[in-house]
Amino acid sequence: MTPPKADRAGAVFEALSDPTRRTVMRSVAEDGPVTATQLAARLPVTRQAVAKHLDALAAAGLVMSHRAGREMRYELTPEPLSDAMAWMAEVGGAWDRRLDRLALRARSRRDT
Amino acid sequence: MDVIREVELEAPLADVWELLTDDDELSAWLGDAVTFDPQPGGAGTFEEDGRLRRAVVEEVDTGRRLAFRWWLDGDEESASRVAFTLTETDDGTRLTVTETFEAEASARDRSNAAAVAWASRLLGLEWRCIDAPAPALVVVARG
Repeated sequence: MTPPKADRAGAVFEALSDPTRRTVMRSVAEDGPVTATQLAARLPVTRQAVAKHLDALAAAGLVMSHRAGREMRYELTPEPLSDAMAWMAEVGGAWDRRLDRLALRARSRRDT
Repeated sequence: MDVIREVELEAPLADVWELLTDDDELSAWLGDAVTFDPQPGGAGTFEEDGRLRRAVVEEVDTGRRLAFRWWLDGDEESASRVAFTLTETDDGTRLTVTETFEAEASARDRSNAAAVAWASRLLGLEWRCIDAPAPALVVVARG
């Protein structure tokens, strides 16, 4: 079995739980590929802090980097986000189906 | 991370409690074949779509609240906690289901709702809350 989807989704949500990190990710999404230096120039965050957030995002698979000259450039990899959303939809969908059956069952008891 | 559903049932609370605790009733909605021992520490098995889940009951407050941990057979890392809460209403009973996933990451994290909302926007997705009686999808942070 692949790693439990809940864990993978958890890693994504954890990576996105920090507001500054979300800002960094939004910038990567809008402007990528970008370097940490470029991001630091655009955001009210030091280059060092940007680099730390980029590491966390990369660990969750949300951004990927490739070398361009002396610096790394970062861009968004949206798949883990889609996976996390799909997982939540799957869990929610299972409850929708169960509760539809329950509502039917409750109604049929009343009618008998 | 919690997945929450709320549904209004046209049945008295005592009936709904039976729907949540009786093997035959549970087999009609929470799985295809269910065994369930509704007392603290009681065991349960749920077969659903050919998959077997095992459960241990954690909390029983008759007519009010029932909670258990369940996991896919052979995959205890898939464990989550399901809590049913019942409230009497004018027309019947409101049932709230909360399934809590204890991935280490989400257990510490109280801002998942913001993260999910943000991630959804980024993807151009939108969670829609559907009008009652269909249950709504709510994603909330652990409190």
